[in-house]
Amino acid sequence: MAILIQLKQVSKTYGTGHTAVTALYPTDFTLKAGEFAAIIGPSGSGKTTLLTIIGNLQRPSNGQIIVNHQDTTHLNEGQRTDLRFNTFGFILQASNLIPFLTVKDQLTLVDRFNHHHKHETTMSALFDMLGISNLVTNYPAALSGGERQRVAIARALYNDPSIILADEPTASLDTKRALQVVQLLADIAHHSQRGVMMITHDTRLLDAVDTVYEMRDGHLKTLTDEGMRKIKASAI
Amino acid sequence: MFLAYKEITHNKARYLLVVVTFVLISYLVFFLTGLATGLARNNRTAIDALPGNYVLMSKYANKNLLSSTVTKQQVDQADTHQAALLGQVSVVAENTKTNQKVNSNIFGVNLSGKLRPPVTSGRMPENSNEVLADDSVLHYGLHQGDHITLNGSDQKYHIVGLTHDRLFYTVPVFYTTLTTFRQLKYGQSRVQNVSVLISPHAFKKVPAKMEQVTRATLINNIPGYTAETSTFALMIGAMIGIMLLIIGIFMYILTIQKISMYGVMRAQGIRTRAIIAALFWQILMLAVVGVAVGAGLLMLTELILPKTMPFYANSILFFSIATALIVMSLIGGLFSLRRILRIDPLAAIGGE
Repeated sequence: MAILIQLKQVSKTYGTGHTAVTALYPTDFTLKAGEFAAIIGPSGSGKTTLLTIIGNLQRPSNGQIIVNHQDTTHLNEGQRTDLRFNTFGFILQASNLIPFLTVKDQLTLVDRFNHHHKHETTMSALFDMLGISNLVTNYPAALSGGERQRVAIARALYNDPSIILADEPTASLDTKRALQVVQLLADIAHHSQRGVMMITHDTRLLDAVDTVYEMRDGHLKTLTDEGMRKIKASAI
Repeated sequence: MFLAYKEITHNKARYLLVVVTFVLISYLVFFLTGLATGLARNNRTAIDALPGNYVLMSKYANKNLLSSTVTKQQVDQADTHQAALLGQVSVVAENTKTNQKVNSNIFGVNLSGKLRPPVTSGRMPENSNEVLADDSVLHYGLHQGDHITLNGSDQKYHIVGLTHDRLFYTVPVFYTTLTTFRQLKYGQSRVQNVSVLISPHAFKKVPAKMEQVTRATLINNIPGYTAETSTFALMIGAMIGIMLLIIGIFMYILTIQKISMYGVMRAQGIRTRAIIAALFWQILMLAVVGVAVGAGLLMLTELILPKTMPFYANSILFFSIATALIVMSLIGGLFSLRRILRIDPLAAIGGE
């Protein structure tokens, strides 16, 4: 399978001298096409730092990030913006929809700045898949938390990104909805050969995930089946 | 433009406030401008109409037309080849029938010379007992065909015609002969004095105790004129400056409220340029609508203004003022620019 993301000895330190805080120790990481990866770990362990570095939202202090075989280390801000636009889809905790746009406009907004228009059918297929076809003319304020999250997922998928990065996508959802959303992300990874990476606190959601990582104090490690069992046991 | 428009229509109440601010400020500025222009014009239209840019007058007069007296001897000494003679005296005209009194000026001129005003109604005076009046006298109860006395004279003068836009020192001008001027100013017409000489070319010879000024200088030295116009200019300038601040601060607060939303857009890969464009489109839409409504309100106000109100709508000036207001509010948007340029897409994630 094609490698979408490759991190080589990537680390992140905030501040300098005595006040320096290492959020991420030198880390290697790979995400393949069709892979659904999850990162678990306590708050403050560096999960989000890793996600934002992968998503080219901030630069690492050291190391190399390769996205679709392209080294992004030396890209300028404009090039990074374009890379985000073309390659990544972000699904964020609070869904962060734009309050004054309808569900449909949330998606088509990006077309206006890109001057290429997706087919209406692509969009309605997306809405059908997410079960929000009946909501396209609604404003975010009229949607439930789960509906908003699904719109955010639709928005992340609309630009046809090869990589989806999700930060606690199920935070505002009940268990049933949360499982649906995670299953959806798994389907997206498996059926369309995208790479999906999710940060979560919720260990009940890990069944659909291919690879689970655990982040602790800035160290990332792959969770073994043994480790998984322990975590699940403690969750119950 | 899409973002700007969608946001305005979604938050109607909030943006209505901004538009109302635009409307009130632009209405006030337009009104002040109209008033300032009207008052200034009422001081000077008769001087603007003088057939030359050079004025020869008494040195002692402090460049004030009201005080200048030029003797026959001085006139003879000056080069009068192209010059016209003007005699000005302030009078009170009284309608002999209604006893209506009107503050006014007498401009004594050679009725067939260069200072002859255009007749908009009736005919030119033919002798010293006839006058041509500025048509603003109609608002004060004098009409073509009326007989008037001047400064309580026994002599009656006949208004035989009207002219337009001939005011000096905010009151209407009556055109008549130099003889009538001399009679009114000096009590007899044998005194051969005039007030000033006017010429399209600079006077080569300036006789003793006289000085040469330009028409603009003469206007700026009309008592109170400069003080009045500079006061209005200051008020209008200050209002336009206030517009910049109010709109700048308003848009800044609205921008700060949207920082996290902009962060999401930046994370999505939407360029800062698009966000800045949305801000300025928004200001432009609000400003154009606000200024247009303000101008519309002013037109309605003009309909109900009394005719004696010195209000003058100069469309070129109004257009420049409207442009200045819109440009200033766009400059106000620059306050928010730094904030938008500093938006960090990371903020959208609410990083650890």
